[in-house]
Amino acid sequence: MAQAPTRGLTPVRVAQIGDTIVERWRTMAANLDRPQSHACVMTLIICVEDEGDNRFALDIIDQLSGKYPIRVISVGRSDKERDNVRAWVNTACEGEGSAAICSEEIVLQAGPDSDDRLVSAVRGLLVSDLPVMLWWRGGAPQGSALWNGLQPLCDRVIVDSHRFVVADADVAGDWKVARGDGAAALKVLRELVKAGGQRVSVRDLNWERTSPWRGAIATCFDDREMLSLLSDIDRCSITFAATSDAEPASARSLLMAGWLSTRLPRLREQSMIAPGTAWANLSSGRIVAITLCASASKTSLLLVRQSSPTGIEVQAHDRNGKAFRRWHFGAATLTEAQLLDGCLQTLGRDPLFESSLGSSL
Amino acid sequence: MATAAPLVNPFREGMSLEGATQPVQLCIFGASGDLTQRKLLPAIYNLAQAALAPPAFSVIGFARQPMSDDDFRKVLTNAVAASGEVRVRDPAVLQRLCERVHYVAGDFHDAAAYGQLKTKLDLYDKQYATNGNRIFYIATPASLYGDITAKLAGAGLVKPESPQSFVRMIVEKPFGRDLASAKALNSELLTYMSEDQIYRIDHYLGKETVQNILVLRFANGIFEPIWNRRYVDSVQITVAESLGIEGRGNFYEETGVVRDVIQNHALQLMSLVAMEPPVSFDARDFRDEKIRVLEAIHPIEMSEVSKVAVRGQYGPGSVAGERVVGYRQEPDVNPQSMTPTYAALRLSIDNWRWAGVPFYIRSGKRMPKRITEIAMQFREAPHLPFRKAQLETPGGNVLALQIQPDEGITLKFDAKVPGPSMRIRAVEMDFGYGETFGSEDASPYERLILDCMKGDQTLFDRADGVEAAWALVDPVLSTWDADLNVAFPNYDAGTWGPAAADELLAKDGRSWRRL
Repeated sequence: MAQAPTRGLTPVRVAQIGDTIVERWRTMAANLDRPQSHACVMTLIICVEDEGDNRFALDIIDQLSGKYPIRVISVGRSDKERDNVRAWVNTACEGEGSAAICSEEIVLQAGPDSDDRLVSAVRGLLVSDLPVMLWWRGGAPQGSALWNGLQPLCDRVIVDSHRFVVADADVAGDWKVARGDGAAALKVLRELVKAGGQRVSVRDLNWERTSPWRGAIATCFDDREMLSLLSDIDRCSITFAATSDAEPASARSLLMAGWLSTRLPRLREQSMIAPGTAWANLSSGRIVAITLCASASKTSLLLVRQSSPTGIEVQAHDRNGKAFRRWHFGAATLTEAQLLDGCLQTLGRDPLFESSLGSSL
Repeated sequence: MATAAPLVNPFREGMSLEGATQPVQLCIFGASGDLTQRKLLPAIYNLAQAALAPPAFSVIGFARQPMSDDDFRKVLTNAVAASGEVRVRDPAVLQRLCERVHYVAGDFHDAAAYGQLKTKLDLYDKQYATNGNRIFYIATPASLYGDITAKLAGAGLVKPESPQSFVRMIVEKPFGRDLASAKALNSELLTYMSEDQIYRIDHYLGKETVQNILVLRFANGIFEPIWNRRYVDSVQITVAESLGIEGRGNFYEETGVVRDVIQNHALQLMSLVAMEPPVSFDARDFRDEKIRVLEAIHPIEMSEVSKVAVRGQYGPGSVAGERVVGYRQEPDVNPQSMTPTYAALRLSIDNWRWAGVPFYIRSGKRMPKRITEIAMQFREAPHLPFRKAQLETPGGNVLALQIQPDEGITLKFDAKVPGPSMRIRAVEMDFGYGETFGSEDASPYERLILDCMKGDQTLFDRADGVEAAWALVDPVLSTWDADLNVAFPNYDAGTWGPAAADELLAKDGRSWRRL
């Protein structure tokens, strides 16, 4: 008997997954001594890198389990498996009575050469006529047989361009090499968006990581006085956490610059992205400061990541360098669960993301 | 002379507009009162915690009771600690909010107090950069609305200080106590403010599930084609409370069930379920259609009241296994009170969609359980090819929209009982909001205060809507006030109302749904 990869999961033959889940719900209803109905709003396929990653991903799903009644299918390769696909299932409800949110978890593992078998198993487990999301937890996906098999089944793919670190040898076909969390990662991302076309929307967790900064800037310019200064703003600089001055611009900072230039096209030629080694203790690539400057009026808006209290501290300075407005925004860093939540909430394309990506060159 | 186009914040474009975007100052009249502590302050905290309130935001309490800023901050802190509606308690958020909370003591009738209030509001406006944007939340007895508005106007507080800034006022229900007083109040408020500044709140419209009635009807192609007299036999709207009057004897003696529930909540539900599809969900289109259907409800003549309306008052009984006293034994209630705690109405709508379809509305205190629902009873199939004897339960499809406590939708239809014989039994297909979306929904006050900050009047009552609702129930109130010849109490606490309410439907060959 196979070892269950995480708590609560029961091993089951692939062909028995559907029946086992139905039986589990029946048993639960019988134990409750009342009819048990449960909703389902989507199938979420998670493509994990290994067993540790599977546990990590399912822990994140647990954090969202009170919000989404979903069928989760975790798919991964395992060196322990040879020419077979192993499966585990779990069903669980959070909350009670009419507020209970119920979910189904299916874990599928197969040997490195069994991607086609994994895809065929997933195909038979999709909940009929509901949206299908693919959360791709690996690096740049192009060239992967698993990606090529799963992507056509989905309405949305969720990737993390921060993880797009691949070795040359891993990349097949016409896809370009992506190396590191920078411009190359965004190039891959643009290719994914293009390949998805109108049918598959692409979301990037790295883009979601910029949302506290975008929200802060937007809110500052809700202030009428700040808005009146906007026409003067002609330069911006973005600083990202780095361990060396030679580090190239991170994907996040490039996306941020792209977004700013879609909002104020004159910033396209006047954006500076610089590594901030003073924040070397933070993980590389994070945005740590943004400045928007007006050359003529000498006014500026400075946003800086703050660790205590955590958040983004913002000051607007006049021509004498005196702060005339201050704001504090909480939570500059979003958890992985919050990032994923942001990607699951809506189904359609995100034109803001796509235009910012297009302008992040 | 051409005016310059207003500046638009380009960074907002394409972003979620869930949050309030404009800096604003919220001034609560009646800041030391029960509503402020139980509902408003927790809702304001929730908005701050969810980052839906703008960062440039301040709260100023105004009431007669002397209190310092720190005292009022303690009121806020205690309200957040005690409220069951607060989802995440974050000391840092509370601290930041407290720093922006102030209190001004003053008599609502004293013009000088408004001058002092203006001085403070101007000071805090500069301090918190709220751009002259103000919302006055009037959480006082309705009898004070007119005087407060007049005195605010006298102090120069109701006119926006620039074309870019706004001044809005939220007023609580009850908005008047009959048609004449509602008209007088509307007229008084509109002397000083324009309709687009006035936000008449009915917290029922802030409930997610009430709004979902519109989504169910107008976003799903399968329902609207059958949502008419051709397929719908009747509609039942129930707003039942298992609670009594909970120590509010003085209030209830003056109000009664018609003013407390029927004139506002129940008629809101009826208008949502019966309205025509609006062109858009913006405030004007939506409220136009809602009011149009209220105006199409067949007026009740005073001579007809006894035929289409039933009143009741609960006597002693048992609710959920507990013995409870009758209404007349409640504190602050006249032992000979003739105030109705139950009402049932049979209404009809004079338009093509609903001609001939009765709408039965009932609401009462001390009912067997707390439940609010709208049930669409569909006509039976024109011909049943099965012998009646094999039907185990009465036929007829029912689509029930449950508003509270378990929000959801149930469709009742007939199914074959498994086995060799053709036996038919009614079954229910349930959809529960909690099971699908969790229970993280915002409180109605949170939603409606946020809407006011955003300047969205869609879910607020308009003057003509309030008057249309009063016009409908006014004959009932007048008739009942004049005719005290009814044997109260006429239903036991813990039952579904007086026998006359059952007879109201029995006359039409129908019965109330067993809930």
